[in-house]
Amino acid sequence: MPDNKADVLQGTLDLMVLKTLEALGPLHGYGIARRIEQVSENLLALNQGTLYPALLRLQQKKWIAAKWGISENNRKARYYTITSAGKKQLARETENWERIAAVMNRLLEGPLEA
Amino acid sequence: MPWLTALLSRIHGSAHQSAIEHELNEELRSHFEMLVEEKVRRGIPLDEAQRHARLELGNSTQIHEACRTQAGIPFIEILLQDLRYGLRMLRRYPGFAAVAIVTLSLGIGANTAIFSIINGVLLRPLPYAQPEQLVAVISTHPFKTSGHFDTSPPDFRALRAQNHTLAGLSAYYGGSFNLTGVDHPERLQAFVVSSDYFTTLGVRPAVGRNFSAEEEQWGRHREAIVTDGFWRTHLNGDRNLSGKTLNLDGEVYDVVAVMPPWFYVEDPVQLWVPMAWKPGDNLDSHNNYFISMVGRLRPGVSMAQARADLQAIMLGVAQKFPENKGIGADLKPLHDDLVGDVRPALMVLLGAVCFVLLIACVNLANLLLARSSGRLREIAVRSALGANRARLLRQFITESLLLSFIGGALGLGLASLTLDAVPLPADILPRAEHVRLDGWVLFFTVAISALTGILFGLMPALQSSRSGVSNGLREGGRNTASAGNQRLRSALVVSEVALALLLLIGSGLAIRSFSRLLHVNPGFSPDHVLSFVVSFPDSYDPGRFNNPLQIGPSPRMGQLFETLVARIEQLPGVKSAGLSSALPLRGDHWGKFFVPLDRPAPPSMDKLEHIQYSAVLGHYFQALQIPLVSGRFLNDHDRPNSPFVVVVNQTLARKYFPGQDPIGKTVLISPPEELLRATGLLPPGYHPPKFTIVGVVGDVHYGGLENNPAPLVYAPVLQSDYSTAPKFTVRTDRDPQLLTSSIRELLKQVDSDLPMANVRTMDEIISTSVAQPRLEAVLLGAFGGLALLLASVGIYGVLAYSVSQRTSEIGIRMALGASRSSVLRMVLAQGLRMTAIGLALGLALALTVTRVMSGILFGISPTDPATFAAILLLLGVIALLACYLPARRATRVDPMVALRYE
Repeated sequence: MPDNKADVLQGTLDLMVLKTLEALGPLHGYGIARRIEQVSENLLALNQGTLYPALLRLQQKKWIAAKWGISENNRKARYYTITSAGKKQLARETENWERIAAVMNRLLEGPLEA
Repeated sequence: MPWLTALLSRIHGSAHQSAIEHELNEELRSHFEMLVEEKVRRGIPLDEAQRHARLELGNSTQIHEACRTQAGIPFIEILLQDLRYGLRMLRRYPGFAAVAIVTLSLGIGANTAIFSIINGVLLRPLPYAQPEQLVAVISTHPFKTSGHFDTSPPDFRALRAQNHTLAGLSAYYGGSFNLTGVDHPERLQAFVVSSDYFTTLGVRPAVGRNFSAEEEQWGRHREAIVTDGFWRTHLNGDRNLSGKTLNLDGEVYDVVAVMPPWFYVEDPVQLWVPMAWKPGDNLDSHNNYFISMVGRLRPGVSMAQARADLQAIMLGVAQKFPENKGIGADLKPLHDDLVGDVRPALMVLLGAVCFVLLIACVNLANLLLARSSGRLREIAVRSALGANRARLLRQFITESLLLSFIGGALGLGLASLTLDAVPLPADILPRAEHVRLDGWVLFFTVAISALTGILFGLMPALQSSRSGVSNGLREGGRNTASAGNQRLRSALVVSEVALALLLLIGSGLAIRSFSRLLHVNPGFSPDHVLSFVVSFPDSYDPGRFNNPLQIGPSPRMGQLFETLVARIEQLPGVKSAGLSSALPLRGDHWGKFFVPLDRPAPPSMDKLEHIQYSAVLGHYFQALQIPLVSGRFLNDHDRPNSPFVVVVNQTLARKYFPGQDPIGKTVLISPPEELLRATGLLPPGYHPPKFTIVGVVGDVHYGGLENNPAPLVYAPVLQSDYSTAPKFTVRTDRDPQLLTSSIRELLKQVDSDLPMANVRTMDEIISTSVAQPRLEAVLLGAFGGLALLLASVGIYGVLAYSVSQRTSEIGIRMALGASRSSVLRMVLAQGLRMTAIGLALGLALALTVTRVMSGILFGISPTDPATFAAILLLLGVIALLACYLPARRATRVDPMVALRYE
């Protein structure tokens, strides 16, 4: 649940990270940023640096966990995995979004059905 | 609870900051390299790839900053940062820091000390079970209008038996016993209490058992409960009390219990004994009022209900016993009863210390404002680097709070030292033993330090944080910020002067009130007089209670009195000695009826006049040098078979024999025979004796110096009612204390069972009687002096600073032809303007505020014009001096130098 109005953007970024990790398994920061860019078809050209405070926040809430590992190019990188608490949170947030989307849909289509 | 885990992570993060930074660095570097690699793979040349990657990743510093804020606890980290900065500032300006901290520690320390007194005395609840239910029950008399009224034993029993609003009602009165059968006979202070005294208060003994109802019967009453202190010193702290006895006034009492060490009553008693009356004891009658009562309200019962209940009972009593006519009952919370007298004085003191602290805050605010112009550049740079106004504000306030908390901590230490070093006089201050630095006082100190810091720091902080970037970086001595600054500082000084005037007037009033008190003529000469009490157990004169026809003491007792006085007079160094039932300035009073026989007798008991009475023997009047106005003193020719005589004081003579000579008139000091017969109280064969007035003496203050002497009659001990605990007064030709041991020896020789108690010189007694006003005068005087100092420093500071700011202006003026004296006048005018406004404000303030002091002032009105005028003059002159010094410095400005450093 977003904490307040100012955190709405934060909340969506959190959701995207969680979803990415759930879908793709353990990933490092660069990989998460790449994936989000790809999926949003570069519509969300986020300043990649903003990812890191978000990753920290998610770690603090224990929704993701971090571990140092070796990347495919033999580079030392920090890998993030989603935790079971994180998966629950993801499910909650997803349901929330879908509910809002359904309501908005109904609202926007409504007058046509009159 | 994700917020809790987040918080814990943050706490962990702030502890491991550098490790986290290091890891983040590595992570970012790895991210950067991966980004570059991919771009290179897509065909972009390396250096361009790197540039793009850097842009895409974003500003590394910002990322670090953002993560740092996320990772730690920013509030605390910023706080620590500000504190470190503040400490650095203090080290850079040690003079300022020292002045500020000393001022704060004095101001906050004084407040802490006074608050801890108020906490212990006024705020803490009494140490009994459910103390809010406890009430002091008092009698109300038609002819007394103030004070604590005592009750008679039958009235108490009626109230106890018939009430339905009190869960318990008990009675007590103070008495003393001679403890004998030990190495040195000792006089012990005791409370004689009804059996339910402790249960009413809700206290159980630490060892042993409470009194039971049977112990109120004569014969079963010889039991005692002792204090913890007494138990340790006299009974070895032995927990086994069986067989422990005390020899009190020649009778054996069993010790049945010991009270816990924390149980304390307002008088320093050492033991409690049950209240029991011998059948036929005159004390147990409606004529003697000397018992105090304490009761506990039933749960859910209000004071008004209980009051109505008790009043109804007293009405019933008055119907059966006409001498009780008009006597009612009242109650008030026990706490009020104990401390109510001292509350006004404590409140005045609290007000005074608050004002001193306020003045100190004003001074500090001024100091900070002055310094703020020196920090303009620093503020400008920080603003340029991104600090917003809130951040700057926070920094400045943190610095002020740092100062005030350091000052507060030192002040707490000062207060603690002072309270330890200066023992609080228990006779001025009730419940003085409860005064200590406890949690509440600590909390108060912390709160007041915080408040003070914000108070003096806020305005300068607001001013400074407003100055922004351009002000600080601009060249030139004057800028808009400093003009507003100057106005603010002047306003602060005006308020300081006003407060200082208020405080000084308060101290002036207190000091003059005290000096007025000291100038009251006590009616006797207190120098070189020793006084002490010897109390004689009832066994020395059993007829006093058994035989209603006995007048005066038994032969044995009378003999003892005369022998003692005569032998004391023979001691070297003694000029005269006597004894009496009342000692001046002690508030002793013994009331009797007064019936002049040269006019028609009053028709009923309730129309009888009441006066004060004292029984004297020996050279009492000469020992105290009480002046003889007419006739003669009582002497040892006035014996049981001589004509009965009395001596009266001037107040009595003026009241009952105005314009006449009272010498030769006959009077009664008891109700007339016919009235007594009508009430059925006349013992068979008893005829109230008639006394002839043979002398008039000067008035003596038997109550405090602030009370007017009451009409009083002196009768010879041998011819009238006397006290079994007479006060001896001995006039000496040397230091009275030197005779104490020889008198004690003499007493031991005459009767080894009689202890000498309450040995004091009359000088000490006078001094003790004015102890409270003296303390007030001293404390208020000290606070006033402090306020004067602070205010004059404040005036000087503002003016001096203004002069230094206006150096170039003054230089120009002088270069253009202004004389030194006109410069002097200009600066003085500025200073005097501030002072005058301040004085006017302060005057208005004082006229409204000082009336809260009327409760503690004697002989002087709270708006006494002479005091006001004198203080105005004093403060005015000091302020003038404080203005003059900077003004003189202004005249010394060398125009060339001033203009050169424009």
